[in-house]
Amino acid sequence: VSAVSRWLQTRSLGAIIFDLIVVGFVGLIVFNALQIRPGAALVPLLIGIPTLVFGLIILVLDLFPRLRRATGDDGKRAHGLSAIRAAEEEDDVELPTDPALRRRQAAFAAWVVGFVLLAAFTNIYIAVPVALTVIFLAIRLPLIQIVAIVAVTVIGMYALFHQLLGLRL
Amino acid sequence: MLPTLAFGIPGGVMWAVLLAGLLIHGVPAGPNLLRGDLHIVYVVVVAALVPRLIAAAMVLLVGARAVAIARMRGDMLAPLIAVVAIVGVYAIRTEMLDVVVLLIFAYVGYAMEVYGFSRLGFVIALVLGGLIEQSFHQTMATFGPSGFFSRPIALVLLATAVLIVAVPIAGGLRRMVRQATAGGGS
Repeated sequence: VSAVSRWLQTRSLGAIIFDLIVVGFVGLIVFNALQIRPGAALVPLLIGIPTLVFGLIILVLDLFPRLRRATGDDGKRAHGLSAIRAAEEEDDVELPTDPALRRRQAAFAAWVVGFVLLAAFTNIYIAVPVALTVIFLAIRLPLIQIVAIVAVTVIGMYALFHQLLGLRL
Repeated sequence: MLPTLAFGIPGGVMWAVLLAGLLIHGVPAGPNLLRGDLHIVYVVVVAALVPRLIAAAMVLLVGARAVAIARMRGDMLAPLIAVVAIVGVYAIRTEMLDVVVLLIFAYVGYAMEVYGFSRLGFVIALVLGGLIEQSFHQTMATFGPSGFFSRPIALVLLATAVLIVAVPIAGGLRRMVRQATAGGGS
């Protein structure tokens, strides 16, 4: 167990999971392309096979970081179009570096999933005030502010979706 | 704005979102947009211009007081934005599956940003992929494989593409050779 945990500590588990998802998704596309007639399958295969190969390379590099260092790859974006790189850097979000921020992001993601599950099992007009109250209590907002924000949100949603757009949520 | 509307190549994440939206609604991005749906281009241009005028007027009128918005806590705004986004997606068809798709692509977008995958490249492929496939099959049906080498415009585009790929590789190789020579000499 300690060997596995030590192995995991030196690797980015999130990156490996995402690599596996990408490889699985592209692999599925390639597999499906192989089932259709050759003419129609040409472009999916032309795009899919190189993407699958590069996906596997990235997966191997993430599984074995020593290889990445040996190839001189610093893990930064490698696409060569400077205009695209500049546009993306301009829109870059703040990435989680310290564990506390990562924990907060994970908690927020869990809250979003919880909200969606609550909405699925009850309805939007119950899920929204409950979910907002829970998260505002968690961040220790004063009770009066919580009541005001939740009331304004629910009334605003009702006015917009129900009255203005005529949608039954 | 020009590359986005004229060529279907987004100049930033905001434009990428707009292009993806147009594509979802069946509006062809790129040159076809200028030919067939010019009214949409006018709407986009006006939509880009008018908010700036309104923003300028608002800054003059309520700028000093509006500063308070910047002091709002991020952890208070984020849940509200998430709720509005999720309810907005759900409201289109009142279908929970749409919200699940939203969550999946929220994770994909986050993971692409964190692990160094290009989101703009992804959207460009999404927008231009169908167009490329259609044009490829048209060329193959009309001229056969020789269409890519015998037609002047196709030839120029092909040569440009080859140069775009080859020049950085050649530059890298030259650098490696120079470094190896310098390393061997010292």
